Amino acid sequence: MIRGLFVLLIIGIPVHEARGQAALSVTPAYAVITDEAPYGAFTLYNAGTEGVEVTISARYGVIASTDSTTAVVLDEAGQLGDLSRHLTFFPDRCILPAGGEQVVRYRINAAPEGGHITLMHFAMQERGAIVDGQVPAVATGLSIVYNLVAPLVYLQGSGIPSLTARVPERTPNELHLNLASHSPWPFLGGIRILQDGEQLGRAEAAVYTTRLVRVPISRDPGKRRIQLQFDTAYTGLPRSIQRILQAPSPIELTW
Amino acid sequence: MRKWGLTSVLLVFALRVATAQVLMEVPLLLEVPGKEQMVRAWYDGEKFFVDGKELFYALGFTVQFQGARLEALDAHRHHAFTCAGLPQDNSCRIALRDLLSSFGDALYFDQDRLELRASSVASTFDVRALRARTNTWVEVPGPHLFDRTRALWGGLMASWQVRHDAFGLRPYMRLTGSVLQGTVGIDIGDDHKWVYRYDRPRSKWLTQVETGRYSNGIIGLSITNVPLARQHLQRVRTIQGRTAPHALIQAVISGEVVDQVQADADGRYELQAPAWYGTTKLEVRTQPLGGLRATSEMHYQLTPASLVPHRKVYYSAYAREEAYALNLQYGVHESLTLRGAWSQVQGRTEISSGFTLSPVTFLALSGQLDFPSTRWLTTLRMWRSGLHLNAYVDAQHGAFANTNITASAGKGPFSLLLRGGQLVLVGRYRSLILYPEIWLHYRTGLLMQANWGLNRLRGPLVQAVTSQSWRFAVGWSFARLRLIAYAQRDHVQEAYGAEGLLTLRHKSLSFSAGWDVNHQIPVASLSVQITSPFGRLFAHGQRNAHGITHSQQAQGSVHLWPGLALTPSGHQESAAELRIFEDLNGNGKQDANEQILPHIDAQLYQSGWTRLKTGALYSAHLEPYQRYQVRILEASVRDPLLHPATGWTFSFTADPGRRKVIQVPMQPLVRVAGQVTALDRAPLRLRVLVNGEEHAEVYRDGGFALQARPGRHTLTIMDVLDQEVLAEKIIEVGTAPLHVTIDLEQDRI
Repeated sequence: MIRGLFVLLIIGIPVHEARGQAALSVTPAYAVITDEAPYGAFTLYNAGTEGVEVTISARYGVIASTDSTTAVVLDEAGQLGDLSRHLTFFPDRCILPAGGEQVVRYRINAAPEGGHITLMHFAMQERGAIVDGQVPAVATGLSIVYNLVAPLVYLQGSGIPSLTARVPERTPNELHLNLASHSPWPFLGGIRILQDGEQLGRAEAAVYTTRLVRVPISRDPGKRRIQLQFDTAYTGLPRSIQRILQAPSPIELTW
Repeated sequence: MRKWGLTSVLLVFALRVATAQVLMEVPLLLEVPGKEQMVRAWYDGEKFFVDGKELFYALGFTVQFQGARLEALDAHRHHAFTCAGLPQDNSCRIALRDLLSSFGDALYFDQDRLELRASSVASTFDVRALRARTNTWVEVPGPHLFDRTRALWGGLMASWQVRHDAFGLRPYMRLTGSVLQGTVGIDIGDDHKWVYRYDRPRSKWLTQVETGRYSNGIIGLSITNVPLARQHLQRVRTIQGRTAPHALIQAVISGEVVDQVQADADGRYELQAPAWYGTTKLEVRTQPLGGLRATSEMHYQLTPASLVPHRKVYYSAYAREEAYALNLQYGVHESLTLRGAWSQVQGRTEISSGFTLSPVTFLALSGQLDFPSTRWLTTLRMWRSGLHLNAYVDAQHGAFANTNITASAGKGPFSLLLRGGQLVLVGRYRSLILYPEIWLHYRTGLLMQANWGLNRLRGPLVQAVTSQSWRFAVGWSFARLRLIAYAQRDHVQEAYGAEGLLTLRHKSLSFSAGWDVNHQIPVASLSVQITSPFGRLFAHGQRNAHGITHSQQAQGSVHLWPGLALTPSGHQESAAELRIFEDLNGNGKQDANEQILPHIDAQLYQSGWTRLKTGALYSAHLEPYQRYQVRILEASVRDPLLHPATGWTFSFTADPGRRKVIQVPMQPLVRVAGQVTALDRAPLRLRVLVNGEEHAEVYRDGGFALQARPGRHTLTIMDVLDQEVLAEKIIEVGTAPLHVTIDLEQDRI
């Protein structure tokens, strides 16, 4: 009977937790910094009506793609270095009341030349109300954890990204490109598809290891040669960083 | 038979037990704005009951019992409830259903979460009085770390000014300083004067004593209890509104959230906001649920300085050679102030009485009647967003004398100004003036001005004379240059020409050149202003029908203590210098090797900073005695482990007539991560105190995180619901991050 009641509690708590009105936002959604200004900050904001607990951690990893999906990959980032070893940030835990804001400051200590990456994880749990008779085991053990991930990229020096591309799939309106990076410098910018000098489409992407990019195109290129050209205009990226980033060489593709 | 009888008795007993009311005690969380409290409640499987005595005490009512009834009373209301069953232990169970039907929308019962919530708009009971959070706007929020600075000798400043015009060369100097715990001001010019003031800003009955030598060598003494800080809270405005259900509503003044509520299920809300002297700009932000876009609305609250807070008496009195005066003001209501004044100057006595009425925060009306002159003065001031009106009427011996009305309105790129009135001049001449003016400021730089004036003069010796004037100007505004072509006519001249204003970093130049059609001569003017770190120069020259006139003026100030500093301001000023530095040795003071961190930004509410070459932040023209709030912008601190010893937010009082140096040591704090184990209650109930001060909350997993300076600290775990101190542990913080485990059984007190 007691076990049955405990089971009910276990079921019941996630149900009403899920009705909570916590809403965490992280700005910026990603950050690219250089050795000229090796510091910065993320701002967390709870736009909901419930308090939240946030646990912040930095994990080596990237957002990478297969031919069909894009997902977070941990403990592996190709030729990009592990930034979490050189990173100091504060705080690593915080409580945000409804409408509350918290600045998470970070600084990079000496890192070797090349591009480095870490994924900042913001794990959010609703805090809920103080309930007098709540069983400690239930109070501590059960809740839904929402994870927000913001890539933090650090460039020590500058270099040209090296990319290869292939077309795993195409439709009359969209071209799927699988881009792979082969250097310690990530690519963040625009990819333009040209055929006979005519631009068929453009999309923006951040390529750390491999990335599937769906580029809307104005017409079907058919089974003919296309050219990929790259630029460093990436939405949300400050101009000072865009000037430092370098665009890879154009790629000729035939299939 | 006996067996059947026994069986029947047992069955009846079992049935009675089975059908008896079984009450399960449940904890009910009472949430009123800013306060949470547990009250006892019961559930019988069908209905909920609550401990009436406990609940009504928590809601601020007086509770008394009349037999099996509970009566809850406050100053305005009386509620009666029937207790479920007989009162036990002087308590009374009230059916929650009866309670909710009695209080209506004011209470909401969430059966799933076992929460009883009071709506922020509840008028049934005074939820404001229950707020645990003190109204932050009564005083400037944040710890008040830098109070009024007093000195026997210090803060000396010399302001100088030299002016040359048609009257010759006139030098002037004013010395101000902190002397004998007060302030002294000495004017050295054509007629030297001095004044000594001793202030008591927090006193109720005597805020300032002043004595000195005034114009013409008159010695005098004056006292008052009028608040010295201009921005003194005068009244509280209640803003009611309706928006999306359960939206978050914030009242924001100068970037600071002064009140925040959540709308009820019907979208109704009620905010409270302060209205200081002068105009308070209030922004009401609405954030609907579901991530919809937030909206904001501006409110302007006008509070005239002549309005005295409710039930307060302000006086000011002075005694000088052959002159005495007493002025009294009393706040009859928060929107009505009565005034009375008596004065005797060279044996002549005058009495006046008057009032100031401000029924709404955008309108103020005042009147004054003088005896024995029977002069009556009335002023009306109204300020709404986009509309501003000032009206002034005076009368003597029952007849209107002077009338003056100024009204301005603006909408989009257009602004309209209307000035008009009637003046009684010497010799019973009357002048009627009407002067409408319209401006257009188009966003791309086009600007246009047109006005027309009418002046009608009547008097005993002349027939009515009407003169007209007009001006039309059109031009273009660039980033640093404004050029306007104009045509104008008044009673002296009719001229056509162009004028302009050029603004550079520390210089500005205004010029005009035209042709006077009436006198057939060129007219021109040239004004130059040059500002340097140590002084400011104005020069003006003009040629018109009367010939050529010119004037020059130079001014500046020298701060002699503390330190030597030059400013271009030509008058006494209260200023603040914020020095944010890295405190390497942790002594809280800036040493020679501890540099100012010039990249750290700070926000100064109701004013602004400029960055000095030293890296310090400087703010001039502060209101003396006023509290200013500083917020150090965390995102601008590059080292994540550096924290200001003052806290991120603090306030200071601006000293009268001196530059206040505020030192903010940035110190590295050490991270202390902890875990509370052997929990016997929900961890959200727990708080961690460091050396007796509340410091951190405990997370759902029993963890906590805080920062501490190196040294020995006592960590205490406390239950916030019953205020019970549960455990204590002493930690030694070094320079490396520390992990602490507090076991509620082993470390129990």
